[in-house]
Amino acid sequence: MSLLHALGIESTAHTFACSIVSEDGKILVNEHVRFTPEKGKGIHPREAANFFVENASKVVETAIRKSGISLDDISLIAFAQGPGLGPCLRVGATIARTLALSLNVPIVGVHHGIAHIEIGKLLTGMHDPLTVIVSGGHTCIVAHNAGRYRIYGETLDITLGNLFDVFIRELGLSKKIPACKMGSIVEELAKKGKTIVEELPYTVKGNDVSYSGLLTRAIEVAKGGKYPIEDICFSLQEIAFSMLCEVTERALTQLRKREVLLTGGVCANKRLQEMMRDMVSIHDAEVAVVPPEYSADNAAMIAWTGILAYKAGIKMSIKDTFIRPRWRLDEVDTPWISDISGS
Amino acid sequence: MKLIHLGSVISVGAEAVIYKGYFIDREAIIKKRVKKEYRNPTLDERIRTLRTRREATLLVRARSLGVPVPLLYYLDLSDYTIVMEYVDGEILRDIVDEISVQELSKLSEQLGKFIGLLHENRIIHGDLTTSNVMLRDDRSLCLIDFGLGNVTYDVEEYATEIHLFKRALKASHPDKFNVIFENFIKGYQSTYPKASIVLERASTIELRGRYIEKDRRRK
Repeated sequence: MSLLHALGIESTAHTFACSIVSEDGKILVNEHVRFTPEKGKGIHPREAANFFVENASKVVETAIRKSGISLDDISLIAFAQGPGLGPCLRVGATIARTLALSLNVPIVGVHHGIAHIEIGKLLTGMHDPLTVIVSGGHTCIVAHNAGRYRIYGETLDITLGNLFDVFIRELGLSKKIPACKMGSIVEELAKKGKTIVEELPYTVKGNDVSYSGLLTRAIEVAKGGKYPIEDICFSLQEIAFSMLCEVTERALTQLRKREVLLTGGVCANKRLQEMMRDMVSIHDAEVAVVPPEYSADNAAMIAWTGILAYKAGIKMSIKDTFIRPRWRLDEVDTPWISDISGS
Repeated sequence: MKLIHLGSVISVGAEAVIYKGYFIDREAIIKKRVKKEYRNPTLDERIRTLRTRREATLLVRARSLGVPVPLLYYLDLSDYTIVMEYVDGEILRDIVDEISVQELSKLSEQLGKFIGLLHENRIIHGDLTTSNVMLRDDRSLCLIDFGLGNVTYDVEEYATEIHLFKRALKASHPDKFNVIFENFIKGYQSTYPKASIVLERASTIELRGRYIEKDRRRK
């Protein structure tokens, strides 16, 4: 086979995933399992890692079988090197190293956040977007400038995913579903709310947002019982998303971009999508939302970014593949992108 | 007599629509905080009122401290409108790569002095980036866009301002980061006696952020 095929492994948080992608951008297979904590609990890193260990080989085997290609056709192993939960990252990294050594193919460690952006660009056809990554791990506004992705706005404390997850769990409203789906409980309740709860703070600092004060206050107000939970969820969404739209609009006008790419688990929220579309409408820009299968954590994005990096000459030896739980997105060189604008 | 002539739109920003027109017979900038379609109406009104009021207040306060800002001509809260002096010049962000390193150092130090002066007087700008600093045609600075500013006694707020400025520089001017930031800090320390406390807090804010590598954390 002449085309490069990469096998990607994702294991940064609650999802263990394996995917095979070819160099022409075709996703042959995209398999995953998600760790579901007990009702009312968050992701315990060690429990998630144990769950990964138990399920990993099954996921990898299924992916290879469904892909229709054989192990010998795999020319590259890519894995999520960070950021994420240490014990979880370690499972994926170990499997990736084993595969690379046994198949005798190169290995590339990929930044999870950058992978979100690259798969989004592949699937939506955007070239130089302002990307809004909203998930349990990230809430940031990113654009490419001078050889790297740069962060133009982000949360100063917790992420949007955290905000919804912790709020729902603190109030005992959670169901036995993966942590990454808690936002959907807020979204459902918010549909029945109408009134903005005045006590909730709106905190924008420059191009950044801060959600920790909003979370604390929302929990207090909800426990106080003065307002229906529907109104609190409604207000929580309206305020949190308005803050994000505001800083996104700020970055959009400063950088004069024409494309907004929305990705990460929380971008599945319909209200957020609607608000972002309303926001860009006066700026001659467009919004694209990455489809749920590829905006939530997945391995296709890892495999694809691995291909981009490898083809741009990034080589790693096994000793370079230590996991990086706190790897910042703006520390990664991106030789596969030529600078489009000088902004 | 009509006080305000709107003139023409010169920019549609995130925060407001900016017109270049006239206040009586003077050239003026008219800044209107327009309704945001994406935002809930109650929330929208709350935010627009607060920011219009704050911006007008801070323009006057800053000016009284000797920090160069556009002169406030008029305020109409009912229409979320501020009318101010038209500043002839360029946005610093657009010319960072055109001016000499010597001039950039000098301007950065001056900017630091002004921000130090504001902090010394309990004022934060709230959105300090090179997009909100103008260079007048006579090569002097002018600070604009105080809509996110505040009067505060909280050292955390001053430190956040420094932290965000630093990050904005790294994103927008990675090649000029050192020269701008070092000189900025030099100026900041010269007008603000408590600068070291703020700078120390700023580095803890940076470490509190997401995904800062561990070895940097331990320092």
